[in-house]
Amino acid sequence: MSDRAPAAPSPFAVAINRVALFVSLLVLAGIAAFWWSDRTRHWETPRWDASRFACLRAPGRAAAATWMVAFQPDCPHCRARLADLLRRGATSRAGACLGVLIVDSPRRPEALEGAERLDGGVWWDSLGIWRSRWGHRVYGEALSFADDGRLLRVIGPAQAVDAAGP
Amino acid sequence: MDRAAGRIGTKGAGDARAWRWLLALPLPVLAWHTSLAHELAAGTLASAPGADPAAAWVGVAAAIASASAEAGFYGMLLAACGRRLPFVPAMTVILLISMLEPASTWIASLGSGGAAAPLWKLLLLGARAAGPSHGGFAAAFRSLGILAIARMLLWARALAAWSGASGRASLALVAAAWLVSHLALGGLLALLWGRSAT
Repeated sequence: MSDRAPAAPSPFAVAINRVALFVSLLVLAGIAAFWWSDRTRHWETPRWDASRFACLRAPGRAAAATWMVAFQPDCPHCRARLADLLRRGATSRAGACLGVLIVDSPRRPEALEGAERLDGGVWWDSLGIWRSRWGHRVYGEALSFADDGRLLRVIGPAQAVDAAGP
Repeated sequence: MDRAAGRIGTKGAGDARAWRWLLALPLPVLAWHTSLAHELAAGTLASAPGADPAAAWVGVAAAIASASAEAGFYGMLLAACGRRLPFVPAMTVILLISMLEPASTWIASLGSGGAAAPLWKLLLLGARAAGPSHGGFAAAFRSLGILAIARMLLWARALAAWSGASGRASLALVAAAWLVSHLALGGLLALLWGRSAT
């Protein structure tokens, strides 16, 4: 640690760095303000109401619960997560159906590859409810809904699903 | 004229000394690359499942960029107080002490057979030893353990040597910067994830 500062910075450099420090503090204050506004906003508790979403493919069967995967067509992680859930089969979900809720897609999405294997159906969140009303933002998460529409739990995109229950 | 020449001479010698620090770079670069390549090959890096191990160089570049940004931040902080921080040595020292991060990853992987993490691991690594954290702030502060504190102490010592400030003042500055930066990170993650499970 022998490289001691050779000289003090010029008054101009001091002033510039003070401005930069002030801007950094403003950015931090901005983050805090956004966080507080987001935190105190009233969000709806997610509840499955089929009438709020556009049905692109009807559910194949009825079950005690349905896992809806928040799916964005351009997201490779979503495809990987969906493929993983399909491969594991219904037993890993305690018999729950598996469906897809297409989110953040302003235009009506095209038919989903392998949709015939999705017994929970394919739905399009045309009103942006998932993001703007429920406050959810992570693609690939699965929302488990009971047959009466109640939210049972949310399974994160990196969360293990083996023997996880409905 | 003589004074100007003298200044230039001093600056040149200082620059040469500063650039000599770069000779220490291969060590942290190798440590970061080995750790990231191992994680990518093992598929344990959640953000890049199934990625080519050669992509570890991207992670190494990110580590160097992060150390540069941190050195730049402290340079700005000291310059605002009328003191100068030599950038290249500072960046190199940050990169050297950041080798504690690959070490943490290695320690975290020791005996991770699904059982609860032992106390020594929790003390060393913080909550990250216990598995994934839920929520932005929990994720931001999950690495607060003995190794993170050791990193702060080492950096505070280096900063005190360069700035001429007392060890206590340097430690207070580093701890405050760590706290504020992690609060900001927690807030950003909370905004990014919203009410989703992570």
